Amino acid sequence: MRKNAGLFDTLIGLLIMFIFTACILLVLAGGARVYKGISEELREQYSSRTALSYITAKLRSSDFEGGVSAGEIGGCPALMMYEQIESELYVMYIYWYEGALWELFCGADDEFLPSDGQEIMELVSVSFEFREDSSLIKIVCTQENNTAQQYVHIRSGKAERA
Amino acid sequence: MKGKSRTPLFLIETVVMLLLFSAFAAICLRLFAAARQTSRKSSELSHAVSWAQSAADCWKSADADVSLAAAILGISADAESFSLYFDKDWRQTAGAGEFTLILREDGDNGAQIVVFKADPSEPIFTLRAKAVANG
Repeated sequence: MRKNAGLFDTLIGLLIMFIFTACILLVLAGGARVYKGISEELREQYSSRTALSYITAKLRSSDFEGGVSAGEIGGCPALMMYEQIESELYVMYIYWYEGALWELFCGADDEFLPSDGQEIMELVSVSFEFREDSSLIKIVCTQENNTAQQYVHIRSGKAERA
Repeated sequence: MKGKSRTPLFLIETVVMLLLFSAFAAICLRLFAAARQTSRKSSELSHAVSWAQSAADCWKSADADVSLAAAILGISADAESFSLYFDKDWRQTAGAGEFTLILREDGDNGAQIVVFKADPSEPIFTLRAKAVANG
């Protein structure tokens, strides 16, 4: 009888230990899941929203007569921002090429390849649509499951240089 | 005395550990939930700001004309306001969704933009836009 009671106590002890271990694992798994969710959300937000903020800031800083245009360079969707420096015309290109957002600053008449620019960040796709009737640029950035879009009003209208 | 089992002592220790662990686990779970809530709110605010700015820019580009701005966004408007609806992933939807943006003209070439989830009196973000005549 005493032997059986000892065995019972041991089993209870083992059961409590088992519950204890299971609880630790559950809390750890919960924490890991929350951390994963938050980091994924932040990463998606970082890439698409940072790209949008970056492009928007560039557009607003170039919003003067003949300053902004949209089109394509080498088949890639691009925004062109013009700047006059000591009677020379320069262009800042922001474009999507081979799964990333790129930037290139060069003379307006310079020849270049899309790969000559500087890669800003990886993005699944980026598109620019300039609505000439309302001087509005629609920017759409896609990153995996997350698509972010922004409308930017260009007060000066579209540049006619391109 | 010498032959007394140590099992009851072990059991008491384990139960005390389990109780302590339960208390700490409850605190941890509350913190996890709070972290998730904060992250979700931050994401909502980020999207709300972006869409409010977009709506303001559309309205400005339409020379402060609500109907024209709504047409640009592909929606209909009434005399002084338009509403945009979004699903939980902030994709624009045709009917009522998880989130709502309302742009309402408030006179003096201004417009009030409110983005909310369920209750307009508890907005996620509000923005006041003012149209300035070009030239």
